[in-house]
Amino acid sequence: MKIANEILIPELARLLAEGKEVRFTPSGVSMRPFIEGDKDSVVLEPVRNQPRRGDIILAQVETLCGRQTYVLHRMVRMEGDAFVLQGDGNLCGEERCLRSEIIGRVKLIESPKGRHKPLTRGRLWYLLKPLRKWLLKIYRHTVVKWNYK
Amino acid sequence: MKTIEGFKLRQLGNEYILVGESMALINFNKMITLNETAAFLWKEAEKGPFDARSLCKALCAEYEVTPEQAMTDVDATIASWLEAGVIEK
Repeated sequence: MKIANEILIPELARLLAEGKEVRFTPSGVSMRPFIEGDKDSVVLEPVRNQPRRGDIILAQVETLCGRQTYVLHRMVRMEGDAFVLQGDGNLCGEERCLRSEIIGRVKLIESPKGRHKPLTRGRLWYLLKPLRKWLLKIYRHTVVKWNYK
Repeated sequence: MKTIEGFKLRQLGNEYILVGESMALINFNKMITLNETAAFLWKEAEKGPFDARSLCKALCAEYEVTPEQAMTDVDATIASWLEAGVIEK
C-alpha cells in the first residue's frame, strides 16, 4: 500500500527528530543504480553531525516552480550554507537545501529479497558522470530486468 | 487471540495505519491501512486477549450497528489481521 509523501514524510521527520530510525520504501528512479524505487527499502537515521559529501539525504527542497517537495538524493557539494543534492539516476538537475531542511540520512539499503546493498559514497559514480546516460541504460536492461521484475 | 507486540496504530492524515515498531526502528515498509472501524477494533484488541465475540460487543456498544453487521465486520477484520500477521491465535 502507498501513503502520499506529503503525509508520510512529515511523520518520518517527526520520528527522526525524536531520535528514532525509520524504514520505508522510496519511489522513483532518481537514485538508480543504488536505490531501485518502489522495490528497495531504506533505513533512515537522524542526522546529528554535519552531513558529508556522498551521504544520501532525505530533505525538503523547493522545485523550480516554487513548490515544496521531498527528495532522497545524494549530497554532492556545499555552496555556502546550502547543501547541493543530486539524484544518482538523474542526468542533470540539482536541489539545494539548508541544514534545517535535512530530515534524515540513509543508513542502509535493502533489496526486496532482504539483501543489504552496499552503501557507497558514490564517488566513482560521480566521476563516471559523462557516461551516466549509457550506464543507466545498461542498468535498466540488465539489473532491473533480471533482479527486479 | 492477541495482537503481536510491536505493531502500533498511527493516524496519518485521515488514514489509520499499523506499523511495526521495535525499540528504535519504525518500519513503514510493512504497514497495513485500517479504516475507522478497524482502527477502533484494533484499540480494543490491544487491551488484552480478545475473540470475535468481545470485539463484536465493543463495536455494538460504540456504533449503531446490528450484531449481524458487526459480526461480519469483525470476522473480515480478524481474517485480514491474521493474513497480515499482526495478531496471533
